[in-house]
Amino acid sequence: MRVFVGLLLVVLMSVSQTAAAQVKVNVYLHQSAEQPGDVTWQKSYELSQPERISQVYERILSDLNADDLAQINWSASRLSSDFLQARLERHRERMVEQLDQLARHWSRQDEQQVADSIKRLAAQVSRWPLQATYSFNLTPDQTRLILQQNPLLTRADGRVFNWHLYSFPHKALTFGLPEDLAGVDNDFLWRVLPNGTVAKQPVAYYNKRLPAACYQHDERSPIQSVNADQAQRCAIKGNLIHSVRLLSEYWLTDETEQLDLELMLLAKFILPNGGQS
Amino acid sequence: MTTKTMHHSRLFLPSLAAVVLLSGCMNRVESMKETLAFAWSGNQDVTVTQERLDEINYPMMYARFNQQRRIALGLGFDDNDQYKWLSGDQEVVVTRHGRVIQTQGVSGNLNELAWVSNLSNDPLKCLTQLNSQCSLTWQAQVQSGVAQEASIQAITSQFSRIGSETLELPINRSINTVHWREQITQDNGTTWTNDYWLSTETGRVVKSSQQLTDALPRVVTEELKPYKKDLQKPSNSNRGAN
Repeated sequence: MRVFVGLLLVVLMSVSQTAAAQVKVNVYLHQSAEQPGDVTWQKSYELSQPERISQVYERILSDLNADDLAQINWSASRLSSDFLQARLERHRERMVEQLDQLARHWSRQDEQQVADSIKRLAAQVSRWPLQATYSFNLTPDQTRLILQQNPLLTRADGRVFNWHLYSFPHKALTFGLPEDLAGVDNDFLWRVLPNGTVAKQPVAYYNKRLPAACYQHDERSPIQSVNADQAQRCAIKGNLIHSVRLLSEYWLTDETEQLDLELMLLAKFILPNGGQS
Repeated sequence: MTTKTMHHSRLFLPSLAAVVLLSGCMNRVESMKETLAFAWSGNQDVTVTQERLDEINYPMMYARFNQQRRIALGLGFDDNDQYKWLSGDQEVVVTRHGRVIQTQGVSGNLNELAWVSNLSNDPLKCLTQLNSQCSLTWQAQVQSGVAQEASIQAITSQFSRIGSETLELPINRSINTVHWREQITQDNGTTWTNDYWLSTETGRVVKSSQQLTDALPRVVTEELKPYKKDLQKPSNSNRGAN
């Protein structure tokens, strides 16, 4: 009897451990550049123990036909989780709140046109179609070859992971404020590169020959704030890059001096071909 | 606003369990990478001897990007007809029906080939099956780069048959081929040609010189050790590419 109870305990413990470790991975394939939100193939995998993303890829190999597989643009793929998405939404709420406060500040200073521009930006930010992303450009071959580039999917980072695969490239879109509004920065344009790097690019007549300041995406801390000291010089040459026009530094207060960088932490997660807000 | 950490993900931290879990299936690839890294590193063109090739049990090819040194690549994975060729320096070249469709980590500050559209209509897919009724025109979009140089270009391609040729491949191999030439026209008006030599017996591409856009390097490939799967004659072969 004692042996039976012991065995039962072992079984129960192993079952509870399995349940605790279980995560779900949803893989979505998007094949229409015109309807980027449409899912043309979907598969869910229940993982009874933590797995690396390369192991999920091996499952996809068995389930997806060769032509569809060959057409995936891995540089546009995005890996997310429910936990990360929730953190991103909290960051968005904070940003909208800050923008509202900034608008009230300039309204009190009788700068109503600037306040209106800021309100308009806040409304747009609240509508941006965002997909929190650990990894941009997650290519299966690199995950299989380099362990550090092969994320482990565990309950610590999410109960549900979503891997969005696209059969088309990013389309270059422009977000933010129109250039003719009060308070808008027309000397610099913020850019989002397909690999998640954010860049502040000089675009005015007097500074457009200067290099841009690039901020690399950190897949270990995707929504971590950055500051200007972390910028690296870079040259923007491509045509597949989102543009975001934000406020001139002149209108940022001491409390909001890093607002543009904080907003770009959101903008880099705008969905490929996410459409104008 | 002060800089603060919102969250530090554990996703990308390697764990011992995962290393052990993955080690079984990766042994073959790791062994290949080590061979490629230690045997053929340096700045000179790589040359693989017959003796060395006999010892190796995986398919191999030479590749040269622009005027850089020639490298040797081993076939690491066959993902549903996408061949993943690996160098010892973590370089990856992906081919499908002989066309290079993706590169990763290529050295020399060269633009990466990130993505090619419309591959199901690539004439090479049909020609390598030795079909006689192949469409010889093709249109595609090509993405080069994934960072500040990321760009998309549209290309049109027109294949024409040059003729039969006996080709001398490395290690003194002689093979009967059909030489196909592809004229590429990019949306900016630039044109150039690519060349492919297809085995008359199996249809596989044994040598090529190809470039998909003017932002990408030219890649020259040469078969060193064929993939056994490609040595089988296509089932629907009607000798059209001869």
